[in-house]
Amino acid sequence: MSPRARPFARLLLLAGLLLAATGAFAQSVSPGEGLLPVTGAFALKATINQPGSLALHFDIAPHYYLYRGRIHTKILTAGITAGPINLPPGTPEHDPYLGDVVIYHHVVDGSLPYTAAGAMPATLKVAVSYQGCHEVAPKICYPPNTETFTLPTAGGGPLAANGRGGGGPRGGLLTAALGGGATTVSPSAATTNTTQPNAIGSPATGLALALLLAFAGGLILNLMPCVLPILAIKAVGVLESNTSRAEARRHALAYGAGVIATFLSVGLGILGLRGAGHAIGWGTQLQQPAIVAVLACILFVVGLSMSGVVQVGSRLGNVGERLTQRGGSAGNFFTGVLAVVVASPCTAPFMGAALAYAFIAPATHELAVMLALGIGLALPLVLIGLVPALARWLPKPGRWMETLKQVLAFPMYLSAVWLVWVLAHQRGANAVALVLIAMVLLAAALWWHGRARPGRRAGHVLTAVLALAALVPLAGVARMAPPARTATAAAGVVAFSPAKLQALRAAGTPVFVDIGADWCVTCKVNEHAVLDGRGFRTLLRSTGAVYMKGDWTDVDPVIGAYLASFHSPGVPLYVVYPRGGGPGHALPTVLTAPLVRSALETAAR
Amino acid sequence: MMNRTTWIILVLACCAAAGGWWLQYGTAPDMPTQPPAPAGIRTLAVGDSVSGYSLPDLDGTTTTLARWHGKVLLLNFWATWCAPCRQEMPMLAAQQREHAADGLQVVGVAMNQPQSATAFLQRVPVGYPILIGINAEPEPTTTFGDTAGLLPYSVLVSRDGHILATKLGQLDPATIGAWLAEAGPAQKN
Repeated sequence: MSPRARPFARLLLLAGLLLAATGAFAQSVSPGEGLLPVTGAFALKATINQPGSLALHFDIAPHYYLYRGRIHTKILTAGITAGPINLPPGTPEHDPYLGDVVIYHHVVDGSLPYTAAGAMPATLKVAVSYQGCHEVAPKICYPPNTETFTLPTAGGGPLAANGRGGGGPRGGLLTAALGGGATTVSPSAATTNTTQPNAIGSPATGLALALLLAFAGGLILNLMPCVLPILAIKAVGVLESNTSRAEARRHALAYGAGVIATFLSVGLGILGLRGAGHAIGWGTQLQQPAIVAVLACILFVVGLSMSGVVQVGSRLGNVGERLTQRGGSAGNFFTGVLAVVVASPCTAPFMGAALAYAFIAPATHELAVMLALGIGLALPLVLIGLVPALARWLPKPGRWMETLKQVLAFPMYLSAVWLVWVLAHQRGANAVALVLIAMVLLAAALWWHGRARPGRRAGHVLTAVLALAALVPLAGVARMAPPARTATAAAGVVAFSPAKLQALRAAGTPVFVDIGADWCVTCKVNEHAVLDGRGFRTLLRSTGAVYMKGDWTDVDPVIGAYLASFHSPGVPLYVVYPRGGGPGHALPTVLTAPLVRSALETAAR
Repeated sequence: MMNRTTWIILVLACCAAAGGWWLQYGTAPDMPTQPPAPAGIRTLAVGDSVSGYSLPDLDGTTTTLARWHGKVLLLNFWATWCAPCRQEMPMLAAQQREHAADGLQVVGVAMNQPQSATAFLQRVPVGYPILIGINAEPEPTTTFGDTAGLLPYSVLVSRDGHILATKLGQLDPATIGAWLAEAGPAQKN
């Protein structure tokens, strides 16, 4: 392999690893409601360090607590009696029903003195039961859990494996604690303990895995079609400033700060909305017509600047003219912000798993996951800025960059067209006219800015007036009321309503529910590939199924509640209800004709 | 002019993006799950019928869930040692009063012995029926899908006795409203 080709092999390998991680991410963020298994929330160790005293040590995970009064021990070895258990003071808390109780956070170290009536048996078998709860959302309590330990009475460290015994039918985690001085595991312990893998996941996989996967997820976001164009421009920007390494570093760090700050704001926003009980999902910011209109204008302006209508300084990578005027770092910071905002619609299903976690995880975990996502997204570009060696992987600057920049303007225009089309569905033709007027005013502002002579104050004033004038039609869009919702008139399609769905199911009719939104690219792809096809119509006729369609383009609490009932953080959601009124079965977010066929044929049986 | 290197990078980036796109949309997001039930124990999932299930009430009389056929049944698993359960029970009592006309029937399943449950209910009367789940084998929480035994846990049962939804953690009036909407109005026949 030539030295020149080697970096590409590495790049390919990296891409492969990232893609492999995508699948892993989608499959393994199953946080089990974000809760640890009982033995992970309250990790108990029992040891006999000195004969005559059993030491009990609980490591309590953050946001979990144990009740002091519900820690009990029972000696199971005949001939050994135990004194009262010594437990630390703990935190007093008033409970309206239980009265004054003592709870523990973090760590509990207790001890249980024991004596033998006659000769001390070689091993001590003890059952320790405890009970605790999770104190942030979801607020839940664990059932009382009992673990049994078999320990050598001579002391010298833990000997036997401990495990849960005597409790209910649920399995515990077997934590084999074989200490240094161990000789043999007592046979009784070996036979009474059962191992059972716990699906909630061990404590190590809880937050750590979520963070790792969120980081990998962030890296993969770099490859998403919505992000890649921005990133490509950004990379060129960093490359251009390569003359000064310090400047490249500054640009890269500013961009990284922008990405991470945006993810953290999203995280904080989710916390706030979660508190307010709003029904939201990733991508729902596009339910707000004003945001759609503003985004369309931003993309249009970015496109114009890339087409060369206006030269925004000499930097290619800075989008949003007003932002770039505030200096290199600010411009880079807002490029980072824009990367996240523009990326959101096309990453929705991918982000679903992470967000599902974020919505149920404790606040600190949620923010940590958002931070990891941001770091992942920002990392490649920051690395290019920081490590000069990586810059070798980038192509040499040249005239081609101008060509590339101009070529990349066209995806921007198309994105703007898409957003205008979304707006048309949300608020109709009047809104489209308003946003197009705003675009014309912005184009005029940029054109005048481009030809205004430097130093001429009047020219700048006119530019500012034109740009501000563009805000007027945008404000008009924000104030427009949603048009009267008309039921979808297409033949064979029923508008979604829970009552109608219930009636159809009660009548035993198979139902295919499709919840989508105009701003949802995946929904459109599915409609084009499968749902609008003649094959699907034929399939509906042959199976007798009703096609029920819900539109989440605008805020709709009824549809929001329906999505939540399927734990779906966003759209699309496809649910098939079988003949005879059985429960609905959600389909994957990407539909294929064979998949829909088999789902409907199964439902019709 | 773009040189060959640049083209290779662009093509690779596009392939990676396409692959990412495919993987992103080709894999359905995983939903949070409870640990699997122990071998040999059948658990009920959304859609399963619960009409034949029975538990003793506070007096020890066996009560079958079919008794509430025709109502939207909200089974709420609780225990006196569960602070969040005790917090939500007055709210459930209020919801029961408010939505009784809509056919809502809240039924508490206590994971306590009858004496403890009765002592608690004397201090915090809720008004809706209470069943005792602690002595049933397998535990009713496991049977209804809460295999980790975490509380509070609630199960929504349709008017014809099928599980419509489950919820681990505290309920709120909005969720109950959405559940009632999902269960739909009574059949007019």
